[in-house]
Amino acid sequence: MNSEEVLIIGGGYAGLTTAVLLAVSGIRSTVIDKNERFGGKLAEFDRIYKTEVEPRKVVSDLLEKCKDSGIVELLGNTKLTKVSGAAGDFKCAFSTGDEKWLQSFGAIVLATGSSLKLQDGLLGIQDLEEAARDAKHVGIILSSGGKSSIVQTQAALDRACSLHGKGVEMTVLYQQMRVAGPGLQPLYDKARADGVVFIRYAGKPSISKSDGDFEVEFVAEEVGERVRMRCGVLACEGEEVPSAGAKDLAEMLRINIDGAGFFQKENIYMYQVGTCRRGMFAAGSCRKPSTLEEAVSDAYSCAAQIKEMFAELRDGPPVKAPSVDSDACAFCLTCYRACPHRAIGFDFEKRAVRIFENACYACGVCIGECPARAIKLENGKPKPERAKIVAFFCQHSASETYKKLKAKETNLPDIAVREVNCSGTVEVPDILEAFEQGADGVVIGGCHKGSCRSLTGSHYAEKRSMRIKEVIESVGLEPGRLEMLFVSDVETNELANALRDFGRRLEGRSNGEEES
Amino acid sequence: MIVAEQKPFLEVFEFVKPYNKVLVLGCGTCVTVCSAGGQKEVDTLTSALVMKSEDEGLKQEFLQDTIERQCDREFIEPLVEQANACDAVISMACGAGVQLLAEMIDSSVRVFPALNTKFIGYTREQGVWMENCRGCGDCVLHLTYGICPVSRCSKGLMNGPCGGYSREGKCEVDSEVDCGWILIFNKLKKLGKLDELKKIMEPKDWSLASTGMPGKVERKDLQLIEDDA
Repeated sequence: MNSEEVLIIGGGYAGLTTAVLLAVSGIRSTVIDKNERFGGKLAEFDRIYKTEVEPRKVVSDLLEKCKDSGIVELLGNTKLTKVSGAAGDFKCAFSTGDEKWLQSFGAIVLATGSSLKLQDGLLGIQDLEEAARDAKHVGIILSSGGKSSIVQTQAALDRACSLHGKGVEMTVLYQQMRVAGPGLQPLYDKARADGVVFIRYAGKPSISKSDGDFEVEFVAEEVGERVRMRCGVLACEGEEVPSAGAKDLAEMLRINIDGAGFFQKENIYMYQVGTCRRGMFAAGSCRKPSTLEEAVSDAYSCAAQIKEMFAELRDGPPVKAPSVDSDACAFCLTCYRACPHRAIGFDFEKRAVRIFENACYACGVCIGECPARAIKLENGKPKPERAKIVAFFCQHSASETYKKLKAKETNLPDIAVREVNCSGTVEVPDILEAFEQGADGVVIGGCHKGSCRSLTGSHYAEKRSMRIKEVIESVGLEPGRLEMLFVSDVETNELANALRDFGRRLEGRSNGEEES
Repeated sequence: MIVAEQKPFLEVFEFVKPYNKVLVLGCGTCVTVCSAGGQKEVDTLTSALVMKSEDEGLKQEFLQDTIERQCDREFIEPLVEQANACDAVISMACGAGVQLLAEMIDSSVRVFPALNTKFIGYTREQGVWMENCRGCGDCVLHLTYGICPVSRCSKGLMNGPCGGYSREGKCEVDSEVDCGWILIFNKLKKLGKLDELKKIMEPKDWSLASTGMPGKVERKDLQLIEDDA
């Protein structure tokens, strides 16, 4: 029996909002926080976010709604220590002080937020309100660490407007004005209209102090000259970093983080709050530094997807997972390590791996990697007929593209397509078999790397194609007779050109052979 | 486990070129784990052999199978008949498996190794295997806090390190390799037990090692009792 309770890690704005929204749908949740007090950043630094009501009030309202619902449990001072299992039944171990306990949850939402790292000795934008009270001229430097954050841009524009309204002369230095967020463009327009001075700079400004004032020297891009600015108070954009412990949490949950340490790498096939594991979601600033509006949108998205997933799981596993022949399995753990969705666990009784059906997306990367050929997936799709070119096309990308292409183009090389769940499932011997049976060429078609439905699937396919090229070269075939293509499901022209080129190259090769 | 890697394909092909009927036999234990000789590699090698053989105009037949372990008679037994009907067998097992196979099938059937057996090691990460035991027959890991000087010092020094380690703690033989003795030193330093390094280790008795005469482990208590009555 699946659990339909949700574990929310982090009792900040995103986490609490998710809990409230889940409660609206009648879904029970437990919100844990490592601190005793809930509210995360909002409770600790109510200056970061500008809200119409006082941030503390926002938190207490959310907490009240949680309590009123009767189905949200709030546990402070609590840490998640271990997770096993899969969507519908994540077996979680917790510690609250000295007490240790276990509970199963159907889904997990990460809402651990981010924290702000300020530059040494400089004021953060969120602290301007107090510090700039008696100042005449206040400077704000945005994007000093490269790309500006939306949260910080919002704070800067907001403070600039309010201080300017109190008669303070305001100058904002920026590199890129990021206004792609709710309400940011009007706020920027208002600031400009009010008379806040915006100057775009290049390079890194140098900051010094003289007579109690800040002196900022920078290259103003519009005029291409070095400019000096004096101001009584100076604030700099800080760097938003994942909360302490986010990396350890990601490691424990076996989910991916991006280069900066935030949960989830961008992938066009994934919902923005999704992670590599079914049933694990990330909301708010732990995913990427977010404004309050963005956090709310994440919370809605999480609640909707969890509701949908619970409904789906009630009818059994969402996809037909591959099966493991436990006699053939060498328990080598290759599949366990390679599975992009962390759907593989251990079955110590059978001394073999097991696939958690609820976690599996049936990409078959495990099949492609298994050295014992112990994992199989019958997808009912016939083997391709013999043809000059045999193609193994991913069902999400190349195969879709090919169907569209075939509907409008006839002038294509002789090609037999075998649709596969993911290019990452194609085994080395499958390709060799096609050559053995007389194919002139073989094409593997998968998603673009970084946009693969199975995250790393097309990387695996590419890696394997290198190995196959080595093998066929050693038996005297041109390595070029194998082609790895990366196409999205809309790139019909790209696929048509690639196939025609490949066909021509193969043709040229066989003609060349005949001549010699 | 035993870690092995494949011989170059052409070397294996040359072995079996003169033979008509060839069995490619995989091993389902260590060499499957290190992806050198499991079912997938058996299929890959067989396909490659078929193609190369056709390319050279030979009329060879290739069969393939994988068994649980080639280092146990009972697992080989069911295959003996099939192997004897071939002219040659390519074993994708470690050296131990190849030898037992050669012992068990007709001596007229040539047995060829497809792998080079490398060492006893562990999976450092997927696709990377490291040696960490050389079968010296007299383990000293209790003295060196779990870091083996025999396999992890390129010179197998028992009282290291030598003078050749780099500032980064790498070995002079190969700058990619950690100096085993620096690892031992750092571990003992961390534990506040550097004094233990002052004890000189006696020269090793290499007659106990697997590099000397054929090693043998015998357990009388485990041997079978024949019922001759």
